Amino acid sequence: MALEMTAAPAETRAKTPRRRKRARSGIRGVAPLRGLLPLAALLAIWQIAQIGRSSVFFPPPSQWVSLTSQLVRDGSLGTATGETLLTFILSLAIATVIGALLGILIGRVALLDRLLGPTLEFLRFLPGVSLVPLAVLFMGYTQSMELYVVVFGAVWPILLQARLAARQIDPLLLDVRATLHLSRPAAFWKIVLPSVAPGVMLGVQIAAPLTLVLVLVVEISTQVAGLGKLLETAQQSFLAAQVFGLIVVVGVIALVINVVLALIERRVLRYRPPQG
Amino acid sequence: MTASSRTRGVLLGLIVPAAIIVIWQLAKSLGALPYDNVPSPFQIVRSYGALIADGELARNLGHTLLACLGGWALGSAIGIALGVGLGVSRAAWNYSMASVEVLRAIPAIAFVPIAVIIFTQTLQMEISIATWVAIWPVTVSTMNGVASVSSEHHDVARSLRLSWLERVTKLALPTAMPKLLVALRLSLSGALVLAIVAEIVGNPAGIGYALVSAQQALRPDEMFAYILLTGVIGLVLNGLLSLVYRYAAPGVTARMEGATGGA
Repeated sequence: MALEMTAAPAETRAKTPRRRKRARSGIRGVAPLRGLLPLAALLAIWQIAQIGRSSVFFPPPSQWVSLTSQLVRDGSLGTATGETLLTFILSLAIATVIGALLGILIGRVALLDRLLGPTLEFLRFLPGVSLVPLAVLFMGYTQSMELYVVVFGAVWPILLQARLAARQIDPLLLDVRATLHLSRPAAFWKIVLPSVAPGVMLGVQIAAPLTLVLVLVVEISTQVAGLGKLLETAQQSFLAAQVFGLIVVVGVIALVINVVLALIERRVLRYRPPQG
Repeated sequence: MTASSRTRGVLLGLIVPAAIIVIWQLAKSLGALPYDNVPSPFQIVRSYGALIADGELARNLGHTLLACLGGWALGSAIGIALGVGLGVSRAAWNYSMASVEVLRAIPAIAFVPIAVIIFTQTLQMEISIATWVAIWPVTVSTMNGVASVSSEHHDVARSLRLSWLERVTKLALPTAMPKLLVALRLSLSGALVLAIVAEIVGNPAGIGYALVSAQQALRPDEMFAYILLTGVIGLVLNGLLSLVYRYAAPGVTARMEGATGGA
């Protein structure tokens, strides 16, 4: 049976109905919006089940809206969102530059790679969140403390992906550098960076959710302002409805970040060199 | 790589950590560090001794590991079930994938405050958060793996008249295995991070809380000891998982490395 299968795969494939084949390949496409139905149904049941009496732990969605809109009216939600987003963008940008440059350097210099390999291997497994209390001890509740902690946690995926991509630059492309007598900076901009860009982008996409988590952790566990602080205040006042409302806000932000990164990725990957 | 060149590679890699420790100790002894309360490596080692002697390290380590591994196991089981469902049935995917995408996009940390309200400051709270974060990578990878079963294999299953359950256990899950193993590793790191976060923010127990109380007691040596410990836990858990993979599924591991090498 197995032999038959390997001998005639093309024939078998031809016999499969076309409709089913398309269905299989489509499963990795964009999920259709009708897939939101279970979530919508859940929220509707959640709401309807509590007409007349409402649970302390699972308040109905209508209460989420009313309690969260208080935060909108007094302006604190807007300010907090701005603070959280600013920290997020700044730290991801810093982590991208540091991670990409270090990653390229380590990936291209074999000796450095071997010297730093085990150290990097350890640091990547160090959960960035465990540094929060230490950073607070040394730097206090400051914006720069938040940046240090978040960048330290977010830099590893980018660095490791950049290192991998830098190692795999096609040697042929580097020969082109010699043939064209390109200077080192020119070669960096025209050959190395475009070759490494897809890897860096992959690293950024792994790092982005991590960055958002770290920003929120710092804000929840310290006195730094932002959405995390609002979440913690709501929790301490036992305003479950407000917590749920803020979870929705954070979720929307995370979704928007995903979409923006996907758009950036499409731009970056336009320059993707032919793969060997 | 030959054995001798591998040993040389390891030795080369140990130069940097060794140098860091020596320079750190020297700088501390000579008073050249910018912060006065940075402990010296020697002080960190000594605080390990104290923490091990009074059993506090083992207690905190056990608590955090319980929360992390409990949440990981629970979340992975849920994720595999969800992923098989979404991967096998096109209709299930059409009518629920967008919900999954929305739920998994929400950073798990945002659920910590609500978990604290619902479960209060308990181990259940930590496990619920660790579970939540472990579910999604496993769901998505299982789903993609299951959906990538080739149509030839589907035909084989049909001609062998495999039951639905047999199709899942003999066809879908083995096909999904390489992706699933990668996802299990991801969700384990996620569960560890969230267990520590839940301890820093909510439940006063385990390594996360030990970090916070060492901070409040102005004991940077203990903080460094616990921070390094979290790194070691991550490293050891990952190493153990790799060992299990290599022992239990050597063929799959080879395919997996082939798959990640190209990525």
